Amino acid sequence: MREPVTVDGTAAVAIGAVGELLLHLPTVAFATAGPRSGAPGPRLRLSSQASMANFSWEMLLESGTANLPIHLQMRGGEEMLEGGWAAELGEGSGVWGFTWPFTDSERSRLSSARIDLAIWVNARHCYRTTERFVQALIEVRRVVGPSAILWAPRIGTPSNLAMLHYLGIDLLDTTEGLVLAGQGQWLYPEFSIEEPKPVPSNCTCEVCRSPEETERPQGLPAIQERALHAEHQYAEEEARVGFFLRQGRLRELVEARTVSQPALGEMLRWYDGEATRYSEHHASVVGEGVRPYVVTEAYRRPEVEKFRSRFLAQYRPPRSKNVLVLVPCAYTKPYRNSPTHRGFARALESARTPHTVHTVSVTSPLGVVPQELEHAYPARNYDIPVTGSWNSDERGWVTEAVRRLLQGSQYERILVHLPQSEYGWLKEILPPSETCQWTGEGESCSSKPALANLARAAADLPQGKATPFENRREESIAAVAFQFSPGIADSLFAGDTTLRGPPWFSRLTEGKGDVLATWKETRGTWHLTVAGGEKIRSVAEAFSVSVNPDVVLKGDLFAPGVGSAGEEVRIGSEVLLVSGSKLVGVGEATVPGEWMGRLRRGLVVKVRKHGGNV
Amino acid sequence: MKSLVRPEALTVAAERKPEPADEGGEYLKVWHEKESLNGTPCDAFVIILRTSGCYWAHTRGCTMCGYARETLGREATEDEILSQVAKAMTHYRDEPYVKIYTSGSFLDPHEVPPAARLRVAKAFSGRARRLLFESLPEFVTPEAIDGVRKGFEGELEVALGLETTQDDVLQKAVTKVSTVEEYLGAARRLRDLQVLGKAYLLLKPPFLTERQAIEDTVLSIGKAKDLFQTISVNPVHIQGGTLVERLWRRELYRPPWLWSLREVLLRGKESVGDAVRLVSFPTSGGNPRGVHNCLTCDGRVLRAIERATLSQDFEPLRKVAECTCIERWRWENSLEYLAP
Repeated sequence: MREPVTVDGTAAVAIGAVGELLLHLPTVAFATAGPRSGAPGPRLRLSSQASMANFSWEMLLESGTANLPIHLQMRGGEEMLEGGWAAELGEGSGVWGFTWPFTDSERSRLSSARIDLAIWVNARHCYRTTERFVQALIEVRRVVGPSAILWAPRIGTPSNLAMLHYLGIDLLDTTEGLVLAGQGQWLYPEFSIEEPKPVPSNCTCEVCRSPEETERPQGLPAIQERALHAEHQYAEEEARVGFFLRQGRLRELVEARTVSQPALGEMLRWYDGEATRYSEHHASVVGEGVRPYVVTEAYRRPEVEKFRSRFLAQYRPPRSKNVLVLVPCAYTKPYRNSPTHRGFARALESARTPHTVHTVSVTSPLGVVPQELEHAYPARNYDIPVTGSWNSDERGWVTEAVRRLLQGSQYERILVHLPQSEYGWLKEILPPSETCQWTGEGESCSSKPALANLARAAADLPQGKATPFENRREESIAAVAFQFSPGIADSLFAGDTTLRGPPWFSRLTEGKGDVLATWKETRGTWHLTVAGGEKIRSVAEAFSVSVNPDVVLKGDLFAPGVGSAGEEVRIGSEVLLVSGSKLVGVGEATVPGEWMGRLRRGLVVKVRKHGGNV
Repeated sequence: MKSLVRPEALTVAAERKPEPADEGGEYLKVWHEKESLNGTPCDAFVIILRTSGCYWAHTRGCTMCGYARETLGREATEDEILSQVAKAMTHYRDEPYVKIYTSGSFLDPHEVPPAARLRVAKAFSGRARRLLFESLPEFVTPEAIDGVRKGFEGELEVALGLETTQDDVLQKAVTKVSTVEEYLGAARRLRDLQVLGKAYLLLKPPFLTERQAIEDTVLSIGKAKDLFQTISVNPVHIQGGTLVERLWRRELYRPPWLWSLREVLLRGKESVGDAVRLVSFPTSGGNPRGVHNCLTCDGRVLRAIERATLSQDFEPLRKVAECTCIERWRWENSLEYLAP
């Protein structure tokens, strides 16, 4: 069984337990080969108990303090190639073997079993086709459940370790890498090179450090040297994966590793692709710090896809905005703190009603970011390489988003404060020139003449009808609609509600001052109070987590206490905790809703406010 | 979700069955090879007839067998078989050992009509000392054997594709139609009919590791030695249109090493002693599609295997010079059996 501690996408830092064996996941089992004693240090080892004559696998996982013997009978061709096999290896052991694809029979048996360790017996066969493998992996995890430790034997190498852990495999082994080492390869996570290896090498393993390596004898010692080197690389990469995962940055390591093999790039693209929404279910909706989004694959990270799709599906521009100003994005996040955007804001002060001017940044890969969503994840958390040339994907995202903005046709005028040379391609989707004016100056939109243009144009803008107060309220509604849904936003702001406090610390209150929700600017989310939760309950089923009636919620919510979770619950989602007919608290989900009902152990919701019965 | 579940390679029968052809009167192949008869080296004459082929290959087929591609696509008539034999006879130079294969069973009446069998046997009668043909066990009946014996004055030898004596391996890895017991039953009938029995054992069917494969064949030699006069070890070679070929293309299968074949032959010979002839004539040996080592030392190991096969003296094979690649063989063997 595994108990997730930190969840990052489909990967989890977790404590694993099978029989007597305790594991720190994700991890690599070091294969013991032939006459060698195997892995260095106190690592998990994989060896065979059997005399070689057996027509079965007699695996032994050893942690140094405990052992786990696993007996697996030989599987035939049909099962290896066509799947359709699953069985518990030893009654009551919690260790299951299976081959993919599943029939309904394996699906139902595996989903209802208490699985501690799930061994994907034909993983090597499935691994040969990347699309199939990713599809398989998604189904496998869904079927064996989030509490099973998943082992895919004989596919891990230093270069795919990050990817396979990222896709949710907890346990890999060094067997394949040692075979490759035997065949003459010096493995590195970035690539592998054939024997003879050029020197010097950046590797710090005992083989690469030793000066007499060029004089290596042929035969067994050479194999052992390459194997030692491979094991060192496995150990290094395993540590690196653990480190990046704990930092919540495994995705960045995975992207960096795709350069080693086209297959890894394919897998990442299949995973991010539209075919499965699995990656979206596992993406966090909050994040901290600014992260680089560099390679093309980064532009399809799940959180980016999620931002774009949420924008298209549930964003509504504040109604009182009567003027749209399109501006370029900025390096500084949130944009409004950047020197360029401060300049734009000053220039726009010359409008008669600056608050009804809707400043919207044009950006890749998010499409557009309206000013009231500048704090929403990942709008203040990304950094991309900027060259001024936009590829067709990037243009597509912007085009789609701008069309969405113009759909309501609420804007009387549009100012396009962008250099025409760089953004000329936007012209075809913008309305004719009497309502749309380009205010950029040559190559620049932050130069003095450009800002003067903008200020002049702003002075001519029509006057808006709303007061600044009404406008701020509408912006907040738009942000809540983006975070939850338009229905929840309407219901939360309905009736006698008032926004109080400065914009960076807004509180929404009702009646005499009961707080419904508070705005956390640095995270870009609204935090609900119990009163706020109560108010939106009837429309917030998708964000609700049902707590088992026999659980008295005092601290945080743990896996055994959960009945089920609404379909919109993601890592970082603001959720309502409902027990029977009562709202018992509000908090923040730490695992995807998809996992909540099935996890056997681990924290699932950090409870922020308890309510009702406590 | 788009279904990516493809019925994988196990049912390849349909794809490798050829269209009915007009070449019923043409034999498939003829060649001469070195053999030995009762301890004396001799030449052998080999004919492969073009027939409808093994019925099992057209139903489901074995994982490593691609011979179905070399069949007629329909049943051959008696006249066609005789015409094939007549044409082949022009290459016959009175070799004492004659082997007739059909890409299936010589005794299957759908492949070779009984009347044709008799006349084929007659064609070699008085000229050859031993006539060998191959069959599935269910066709080995006293009537069928008598039908051939009537026409041939000399020893009859029937080869059975036993492959392995482990049912698990036979069913799961080879996917044969018959059970081990059916093969052994046929071998007993041959013994009772005083026909020489030859067993083909398959080295390294798919889904076994190299080490499991070695042990499988050594074990099989031990179990087959009492029922067969000759045991021939056939290392798998990659034939077109087979499951093994698909696995091989995806790097999920490697044909056995010559070191494995050597180990099997040495350990097998120790087990059978002089009572049984233990032989191996590897197809595509020393080639990536066949039994091979590192492709540099293959020649000398193959020559040593051939010498051992013909002389039944295995000492030179034991002493054949090792190559550095033997370390890689040992290394992979010790890794492969760790996990599936």
